[in-house]
Amino acid sequence: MTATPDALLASLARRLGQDRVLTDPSELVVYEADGSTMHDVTPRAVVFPRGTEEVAAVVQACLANGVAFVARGAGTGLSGGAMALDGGIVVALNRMDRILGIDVEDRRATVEPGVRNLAVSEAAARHGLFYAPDPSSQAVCTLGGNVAHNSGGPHTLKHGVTVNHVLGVQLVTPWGEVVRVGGPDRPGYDLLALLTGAEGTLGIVTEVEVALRRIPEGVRTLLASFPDVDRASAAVSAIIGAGIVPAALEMMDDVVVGALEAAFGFAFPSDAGALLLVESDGPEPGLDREAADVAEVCRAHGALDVRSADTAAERAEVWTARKKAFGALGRVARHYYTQDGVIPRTRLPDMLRHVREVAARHGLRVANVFHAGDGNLHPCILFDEDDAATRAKVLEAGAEILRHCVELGGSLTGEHGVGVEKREAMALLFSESDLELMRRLSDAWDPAGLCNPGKVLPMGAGCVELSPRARQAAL
Amino acid sequence: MNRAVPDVVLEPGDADEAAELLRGAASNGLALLVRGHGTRASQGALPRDVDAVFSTARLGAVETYEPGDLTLTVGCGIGLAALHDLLAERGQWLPLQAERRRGTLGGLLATAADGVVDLGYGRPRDLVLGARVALADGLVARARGRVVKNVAGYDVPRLLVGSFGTLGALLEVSLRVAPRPARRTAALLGYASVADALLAAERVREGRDEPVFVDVLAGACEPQLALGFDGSEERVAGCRRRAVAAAERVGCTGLMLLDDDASAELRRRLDDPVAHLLPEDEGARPGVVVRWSGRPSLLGGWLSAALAAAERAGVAVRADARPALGLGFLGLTGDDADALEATAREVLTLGRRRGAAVLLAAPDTLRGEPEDVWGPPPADWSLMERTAQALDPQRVFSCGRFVGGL
Amino acid sequence: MDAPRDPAARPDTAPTGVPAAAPAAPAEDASSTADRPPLLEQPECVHCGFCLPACPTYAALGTEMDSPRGRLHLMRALDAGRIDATASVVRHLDLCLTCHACETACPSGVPYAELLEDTREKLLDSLLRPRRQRVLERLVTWAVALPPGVQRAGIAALRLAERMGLGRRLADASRGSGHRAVAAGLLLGSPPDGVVVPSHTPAVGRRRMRVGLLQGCVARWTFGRVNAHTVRLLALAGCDVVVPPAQRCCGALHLHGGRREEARRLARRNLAAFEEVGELDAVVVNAAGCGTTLKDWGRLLADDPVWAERAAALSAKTRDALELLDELGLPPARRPLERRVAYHDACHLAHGQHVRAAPRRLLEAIPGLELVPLTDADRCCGSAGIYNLLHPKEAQAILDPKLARLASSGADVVAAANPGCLMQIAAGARRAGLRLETRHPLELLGEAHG
Repeated sequence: MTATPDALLASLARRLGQDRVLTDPSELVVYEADGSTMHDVTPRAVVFPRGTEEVAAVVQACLANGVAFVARGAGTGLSGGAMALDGGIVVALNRMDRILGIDVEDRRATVEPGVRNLAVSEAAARHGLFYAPDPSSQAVCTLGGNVAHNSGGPHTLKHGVTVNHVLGVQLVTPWGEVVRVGGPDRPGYDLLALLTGAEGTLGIVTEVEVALRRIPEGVRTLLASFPDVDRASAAVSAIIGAGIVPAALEMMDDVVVGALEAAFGFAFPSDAGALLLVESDGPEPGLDREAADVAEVCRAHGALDVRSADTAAERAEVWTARKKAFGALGRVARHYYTQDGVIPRTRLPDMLRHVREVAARHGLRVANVFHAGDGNLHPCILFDEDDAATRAKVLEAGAEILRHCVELGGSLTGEHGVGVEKREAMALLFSESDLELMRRLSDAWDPAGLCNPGKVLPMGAGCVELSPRARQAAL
Repeated sequence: MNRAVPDVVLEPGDADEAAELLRGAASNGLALLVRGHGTRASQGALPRDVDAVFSTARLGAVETYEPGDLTLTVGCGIGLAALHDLLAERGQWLPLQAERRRGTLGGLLATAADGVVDLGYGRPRDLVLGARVALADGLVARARGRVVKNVAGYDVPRLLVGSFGTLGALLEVSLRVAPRPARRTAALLGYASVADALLAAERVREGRDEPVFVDVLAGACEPQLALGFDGSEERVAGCRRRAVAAAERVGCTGLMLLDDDASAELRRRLDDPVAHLLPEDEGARPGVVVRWSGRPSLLGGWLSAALAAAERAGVAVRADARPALGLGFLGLTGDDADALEATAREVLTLGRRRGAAVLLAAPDTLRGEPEDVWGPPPADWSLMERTAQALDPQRVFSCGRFVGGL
Repeated sequence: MDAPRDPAARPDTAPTGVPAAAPAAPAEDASSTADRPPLLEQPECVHCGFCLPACPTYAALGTEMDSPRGRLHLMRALDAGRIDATASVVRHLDLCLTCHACETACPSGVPYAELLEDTREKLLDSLLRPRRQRVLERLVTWAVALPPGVQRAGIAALRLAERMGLGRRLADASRGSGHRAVAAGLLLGSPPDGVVVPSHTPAVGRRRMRVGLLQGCVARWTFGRVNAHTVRLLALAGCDVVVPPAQRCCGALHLHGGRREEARRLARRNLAAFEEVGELDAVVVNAAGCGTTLKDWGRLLADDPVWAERAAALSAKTRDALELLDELGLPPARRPLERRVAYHDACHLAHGQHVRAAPRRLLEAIPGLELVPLTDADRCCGSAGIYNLLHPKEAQAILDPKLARLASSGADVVAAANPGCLMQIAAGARRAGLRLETRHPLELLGEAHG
């Protein structure tokens, strides 16, 4: 990739100004990967539009020159969704980060796509409101990325994922038109549902209207430690079986616990093989009873210890640890590869056993930190040597885990998205007819095939345009 | 005016048959109308002449039901009565029009029907996890799946919810179900005016008692505020006490606490806005039900203007407003067909100024034009058309009932 | 740097973990703990991005090359030979303030600043930098490291440079950038405050400790009053205070710039200077940037056979003055201060040394003083050593949000425990027309105990 000023780059520089068009290869290298480092592709350029009109202008310029484009927020995605394939450019939206308005009466916020998830809740807090979807990267990740991935988070068990909270978007379509896509309540097709989670393949969202909720009156946070993940899994099933729907139900295994101890100095019971973080929220009446019921179920299923985080500071500490758990794994391994498979909740013990077997067979270590209540697993395959052989082994182990998720009636991805990473694995989950249906939508919405190409739907050609390292790994 | 319903009914017993029938219909260039039990057939604009009905009535098999996972995969032709009974046996429920026993699940989803506890549990779109659909050319495909969290591929199931069967036929869906709450209670409070009742609703909304419904009822009797609470004994008792206290402070004229059967009776009444606002026991008088949706803060303005318009015209009116959801339903009845129609048009016009207003039920004279029923095509109409073009290029299922004549 | 990074050693932020109400099960059953993986000595960036919102330059510039994750990516690519050290790469690496905020945010514990030092060392005196920046950095690091007696001569040399035209540009660049006082002090040799501290001050009442004070190479001229307050407060708290006469610049600027050899030289010189005054229970620093450096000497000289142990010993007993006063306790303050004070966390105190609560506790104990909350209090002000001289535009962009936060805090005083921050904020506030007094917390404490 050279920085020869081709027609597109020249026109973008004219439109946006040279300082908002990056073409220096030594700068572009930073944009070769998102939060996942398993794949990397250096973009042709990175542009920083300000506002909807400029995004539309960028898209139109790309169309005119036949160059692909992909939107990027904070680059925290875990499936390579923000990588520019096919010699495309990155449309960086992180500077479009204004909160355009908070409507307290109607409980909604209108924001630009580069606004960080947590910033919405912070801005709404003084009105007693919050934005419910809370991905672990919420301090970093942006609303635009959340819409693209239909992001979840620990509290989605009770409060729902992004699609349940988006009320409208401003969209720059793949053909460069600006359209306001209305809320789920305006008459017509539920296009918001189609766009949310489409991973930026059906257009670029330049403004988002989201619903805000009243901050729950009370919160009870319990941390239960178990000798092993099997007993913790049984407790999860029993809690749900008792008719309790906690706000969050999270599990961490001993590897994660060790990393968290190192990162945050927590003192967990030293013989804990698994931790369960259970949070109930809602009106005060009955809340203590619910927490007591949860604690009782945990003890009945062999919990070694059940503690409660009683103050806001203690809760914040617990959640900081949980939300930084992925990053904390950097303390125990140089690299990791995170999976995002989903299984029916009742199959948790089976699935976790399988994960252990796969890891053992490949001689790899795995850490588990996941949304147990949703059956959304995040096995992190840990590895230190970043060589082709190790990567191949890691990718194979990951694929085996995903295959088993599908065999158990689950899904490839609960919240991280298909991206480029699980693109070919889509054929495991879906038949040719299923994929055909999605292709029809994709073809109709993106006739030029330039809007974040190479994502979501399988190309059938194996690894296309991945990094040299990944290519080696695939051989 | 009433267009003939065709005699030809394509009624597959499984997905393969559905594919085969649709391929056959497509090769013969037939225009189709998707139908379950036909209980919601009077919704939407009058369909254009179609050649055959595509019926899902025989597609009611339960594919998988895992109570431990709180998920159910079932054929869309299952009757609501059978569905609710099936779940009740395992102490669970699908909180969408859970009191209604007529019609099919497919019909409920295709029309995105409003249920009384949507505030507490979510709308139809929020509970659909995956689907198997049949497109007009016979392509049968699954999308998403049966796990509660899933972002693999495009969200086709939600796209088809509320699409009135104009993109394809829902054959089977996976749903998120819920444990049946231990207690379901309600309260009814009386007010001197609709404004007071709306203000009381606002007070409840400002609280944090998480009611499962907050309805302002007007028209037939004195204005009322209906509140519902679900959960443990302790939860519902405490929350109802506090919410009622907040609502009472707005000059309440009367209070009834409804438990068990009485609460269930109220929920049955409110669960289906059309049935509620056009009661059958008042004879088969022609009636209109308008559904308004928009920003909650604009609901009161529309509601009072609409009630005033009905009063001026001497048309009987009932209303059920759900401020927390930004929803309002208005039922108009009267023997003077012209006055009824004129009032309905006025109410729709008022509603469309700021928000959306559609006809949920109306005499055929009002349902001739899609624009009368649905309003003018919305800003993202071109994207809808494009989507329809992608899935049904021959417009086999576009029978003209839906927005923009789709 | 290992010591402060170890959470167990964090003096006032040590997490209690989730309440240890229930006793942990006996630890002898080590079977399951044995499964927990050993920790990496040098964790690598896993690209999670948690550092992005913490980084002042990413917030100001919005480009990932100017974020910690991006810089780590650049450094890795440089090491792997995937990119060349171009002018723009060097610039992105230079634009880092070394505020350490990313290290606080980093869940993996990546030793970012250390890695950056490595790289900066490799790029030392690179001609890819603009001439002005190169010369300025070289001159200032040279001047501050001079022995105090010679510093005046150095200043004369800088004057010469000024006459050659550099100084005016320097003054232009620093006008309004907050380091005007430094620039003036260094270049024109006019120590603005003239307060000198005695080489030995006995404890008031019972002696609890014997401590040595680092005066600071610039601060000794420009912030003599802070040193005076420090000495008096330490004495009040029961310390014999010694000011080793042979001490020099601590080498903070050199270390940040990758001039490790010079930093080591200065460290060794200072170690000798502090050893020379006899046994000390603690070494006290009142400038956050210097404190972090002293606490870092153990690492810096870890491979030096002669000095490693001695450096580690000194690092281990180095305390920020506020940290130590908080530990020892002060008698109740006699004089009330009716002020609304916002406390700005100097990066090298909060992120570098994990001292956050102690200064706030001390200030809150002053009668009449109201400590007002300051949003993003631990976000860099853009001073960062001589960053505001080298990169005035970026420093201003980083200062602006700080000033806005201060303005909306309603404070009439901002307290910061680092001379650089004080000058940067004071200059910015003056320019912005903010009525805001800038004080070192030790000055406020000193007045309250006057």
